[in-house]
Amino acid sequence: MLFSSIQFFVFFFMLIAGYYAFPYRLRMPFLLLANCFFYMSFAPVLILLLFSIIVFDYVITLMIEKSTGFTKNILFSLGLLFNLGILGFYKYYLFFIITLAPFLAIFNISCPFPVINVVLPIGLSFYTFQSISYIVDVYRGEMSAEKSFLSLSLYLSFFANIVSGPIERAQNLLPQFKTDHQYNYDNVVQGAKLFYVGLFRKVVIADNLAKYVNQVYDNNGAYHGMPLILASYLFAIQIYCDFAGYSEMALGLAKALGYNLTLNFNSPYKAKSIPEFWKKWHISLTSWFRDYLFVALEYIYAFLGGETITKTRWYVNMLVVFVVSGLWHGAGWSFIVWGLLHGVFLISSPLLKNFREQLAALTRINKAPRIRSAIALFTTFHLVTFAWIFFRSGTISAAFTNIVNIFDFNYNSNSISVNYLALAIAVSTFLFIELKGSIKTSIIKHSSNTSVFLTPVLRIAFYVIITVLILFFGQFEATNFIYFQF
Amino acid sequence: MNKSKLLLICIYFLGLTSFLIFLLVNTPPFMHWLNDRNAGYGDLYSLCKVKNFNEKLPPRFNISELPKNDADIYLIGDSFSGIARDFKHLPIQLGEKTGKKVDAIIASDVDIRFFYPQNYPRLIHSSRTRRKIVIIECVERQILTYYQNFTNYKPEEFVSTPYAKISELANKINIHLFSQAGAFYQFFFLNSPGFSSVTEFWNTFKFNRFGTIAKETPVYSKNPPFIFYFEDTKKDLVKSFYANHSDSVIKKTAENIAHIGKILHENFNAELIFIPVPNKYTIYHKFVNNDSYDQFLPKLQTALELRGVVVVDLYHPFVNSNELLYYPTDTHWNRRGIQIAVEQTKKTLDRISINQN
Repeated sequence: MLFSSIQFFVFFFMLIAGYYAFPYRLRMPFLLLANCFFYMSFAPVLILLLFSIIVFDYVITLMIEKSTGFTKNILFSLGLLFNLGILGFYKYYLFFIITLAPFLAIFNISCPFPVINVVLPIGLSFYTFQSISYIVDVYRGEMSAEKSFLSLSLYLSFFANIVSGPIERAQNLLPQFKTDHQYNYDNVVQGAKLFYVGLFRKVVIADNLAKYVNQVYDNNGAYHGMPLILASYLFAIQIYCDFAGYSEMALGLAKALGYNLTLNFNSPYKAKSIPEFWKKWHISLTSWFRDYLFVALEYIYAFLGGETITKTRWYVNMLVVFVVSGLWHGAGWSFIVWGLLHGVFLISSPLLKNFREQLAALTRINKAPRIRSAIALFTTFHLVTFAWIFFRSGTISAAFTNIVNIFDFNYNSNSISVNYLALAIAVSTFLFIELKGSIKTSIIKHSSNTSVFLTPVLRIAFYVIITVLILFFGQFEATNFIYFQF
Repeated sequence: MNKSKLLLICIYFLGLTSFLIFLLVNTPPFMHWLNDRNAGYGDLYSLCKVKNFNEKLPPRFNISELPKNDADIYLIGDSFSGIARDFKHLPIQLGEKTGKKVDAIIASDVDIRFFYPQNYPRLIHSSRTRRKIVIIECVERQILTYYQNFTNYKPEEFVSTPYAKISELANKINIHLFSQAGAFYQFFFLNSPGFSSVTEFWNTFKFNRFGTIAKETPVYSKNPPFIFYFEDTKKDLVKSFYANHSDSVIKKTAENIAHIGKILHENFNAELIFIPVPNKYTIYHKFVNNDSYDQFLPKLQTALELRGVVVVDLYHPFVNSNELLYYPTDTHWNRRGIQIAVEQTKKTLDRISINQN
């Protein structure tokens, strides 16, 4: 049940009406029922997996809270192993076998593990990360174990963010299920606006661009030069609008019911460096890695006898975090390379600082801060777009083929059959929304005051134009959101 | 009334309307009624709702009774056997033409178990001493979906045990509420009174202005007006005209069908006849392009015959016919198409009978 489907609209209208019609004591069970129904629409049987995680988390965190010392550490490890084990089995088992078998074959050993084609349960990467963060927070004593099974179930199964994030911290979302959310006009209106802009980004921008990108990238080797360059740029926009669009819809739906989710994107392509990019892109995942993986690496180092943080160790930890981030995005070497590339870009940023300053002084760009900013923005965007080639190509060899072919302008590529008007509208509206910062500030962020950027007449015109574009150029085919696969 | 109250009333109104729609979509008699109501212009038209393609077709009939016990011929077919307009259904015409008792089961792609005739309950309970014919009629686009991989179902799933009943109920709930729900809602909004005229107006406007059409019918010809189902035309689908029908795929599929034939012969004293029905796009893609056909059906027929499976060849008579054999706005064959199918099947049955004598 995609957010952009008719089926979902029917579901959500029933949910919101019922939610505000029911008294408080029935509201939460009703919401849990709706969450289950939503999740089951993807594959009914997988609800059992989700609930086994919820039950396990409920029990283990209560036990962790009551225990101390060695027992506490054992229970904590058990909690992590359980969640990582499920994630590992469903997401990485096949990748592990495929990677291991050729290595063993060198020594004439057949792979002892059977090949099992497991289907990745939708949203698994997201809700297991929420689950892990909850267990870690309880273990660290940053929050107490949840006593209400209903609240914990709601936290881990909330329909708005279960399939594609944002990855919410228990400390933020869980308490919200314990308070009464009365009907509030501003919440509903703000939620509807967020949803609407997200829907626009998904069905008008991302899905129209996908038609061009898919034709080029799904036919590896068939396109060279300009079509490939254009497809690479368009993919950068597509993946952003697809994922940010989904996140905005999730935020909007939650907001309409009175819940506040974390803002997941903050104009990432306006970043002037890779570290800044990661502060603006998939913020909930980046902060998760910072707070749980990076910190864990520090603990491990300290446990092994390390002392103060050295630069080298920081660099190594960063590389590890980004390789894991790549692996989180997909069980494949191309994703690992994508993560590694970002890791290298990120550690290069402080390493090359002096060199950049010297270059700026030499070329006198340091006296023209606007030009320097533009160059930084241009460079960051192109580094990110270059890394997306690995992300989109599927395999490393396909990515290298694409990179080589980009520079081949003599090849006569096949024509690409897309609606170029829709493509032009997608690109121009993307640029308009991105460049018009005030629109993003007032609509996409949690501000209810839209009048800051437009007069009432222009505001109405803005939504009418969006509606017309959705109706005429919206793609309502059953195309999954890209991030569903993670 | 202030705007806050007005919005709340709107929310309740939308909630109630959605609940009503939810109930209707999950009420099979209503959906059947809706389907029958919209059958007049063809199933493809009810998916695209563009007026340029609203050619009126003869009314559709529901399948009438067939003998339930001790049939001579057991026919398992898809909608090509189950749908009839101004003609009788395939199994009925076959019975009349051959003078034999024909039993039929119309299976669908939401539950493909019955495309494996060893699971056919009335066949399971039929007399082993009488020799029988089992016919599988299957449209080209579904052949690989059903038979490229052999699925070994457990017989207990098909007889009246509590397990079978629960399994069937769970399957129905899954189809209605989850797996096929999107298609049901889409059909509802495209075809129910109140919505259909709006969607028709809008889709026609978009088609004439921008050339956009429903994803289910992406390929069309304006002259003559002809629409095709996406499963036939979409390049990345295994069901498609453009799918990779390699020799190994064809061999494997033929082996699986031959294996079904062997099971029928050994366990039920029955002989298998396979009727692959060409896709509408296979016969009429010339209306929209000059794409070459990879000869999937002729190759499959040869592979099946090599393995001892009797095949009714419809591809060659269809492709060589100068008459229109399919409805322009429906996926199915017309009166003449079914007539040729019945004639060809009769010839095949006669040939078998001569060979046996």
